[in-house]
Amino acid sequence: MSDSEAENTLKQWAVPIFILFVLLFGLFGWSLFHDKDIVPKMREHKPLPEFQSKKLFSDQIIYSKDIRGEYWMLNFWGSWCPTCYVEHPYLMQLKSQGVKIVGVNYKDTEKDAKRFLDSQGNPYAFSFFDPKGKIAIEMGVTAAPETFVIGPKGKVVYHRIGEMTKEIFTQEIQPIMQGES
Amino acid sequence: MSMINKALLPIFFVIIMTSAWSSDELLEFDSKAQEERYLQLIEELRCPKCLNQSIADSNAGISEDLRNLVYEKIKAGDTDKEIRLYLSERYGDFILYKPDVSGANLLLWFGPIVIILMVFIMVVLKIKSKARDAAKPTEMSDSELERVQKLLNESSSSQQGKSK
Repeated sequence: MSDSEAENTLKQWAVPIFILFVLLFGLFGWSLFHDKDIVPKMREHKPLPEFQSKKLFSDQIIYSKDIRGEYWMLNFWGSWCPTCYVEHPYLMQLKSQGVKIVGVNYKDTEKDAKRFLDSQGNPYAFSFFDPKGKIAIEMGVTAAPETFVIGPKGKVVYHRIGEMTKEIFTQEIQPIMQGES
Repeated sequence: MSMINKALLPIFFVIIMTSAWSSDELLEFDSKAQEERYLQLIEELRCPKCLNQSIADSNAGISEDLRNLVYEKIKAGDTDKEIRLYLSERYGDFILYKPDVSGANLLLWFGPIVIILMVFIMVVLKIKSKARDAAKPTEMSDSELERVQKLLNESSSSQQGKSK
């Protein structure tokens, strides 16, 4: 290799090496500093998976494909879950505002679920009964409460891990439902 | 009566403890290999609700459900790869203690090696280029040549003068 060829090779490689170096450090930095304790929302922006279960307090089998046609909130709840008691009044408020909510009664018994709804009110159009957490795993849920927003065509457009609050609804969910994002 | 109670109490305690301990141990496998696969997989899967525990170590509800799911899938004939894929589609690479070497992970695995190689090649090329520069005869400018010639002339004329 002549001197000029070697110099040219050096010049050709310097820029790609620099870019790769910056990219790698960026990736390392992002991996180190982003919040690793939060499970990624793998179902967000994807079609709602197919699942079915017994309807809570009924023998009827209901299907995920029943949740179509308009925006629905899909809320995982359980009578054993303290945060579900905290968010429940706001779900009741949303129901009174006309927001459609479907429940998934998660790792619970029908007896306890009934006691919960009788005392706290029932914001759900209907609830899936998921005592063994099968639907929860299908949706990538780790605990209750978690809430998904399902679009009119059956796409999961939003996933909230944790309590549903007025701030979250007005700032993050309402714009989606109004077609602003 | 109280003596009977005292005698029965440890027995009840042992029965309760044994039943609690064995609730997770009642799994039946078709073979020893299948059982070993189950035990290894639940050690390799991270509890999505915990800070840093495998689903084998965690008592969280979700870990119990995931252990049951792994058991059912192994019994149904799914491979380890299929089970890992199924779970990573729902919980991301977060759930895998040993993520696959694919996608963005390829860059993390092989990026540093590629950079080291490229830098090594660059250093070798630079050293070679410097060595060639050093070995090259130095070229002089016209003014420098003129000056050298002048100095040589001066030196030879002064030597001639001394010899006379």
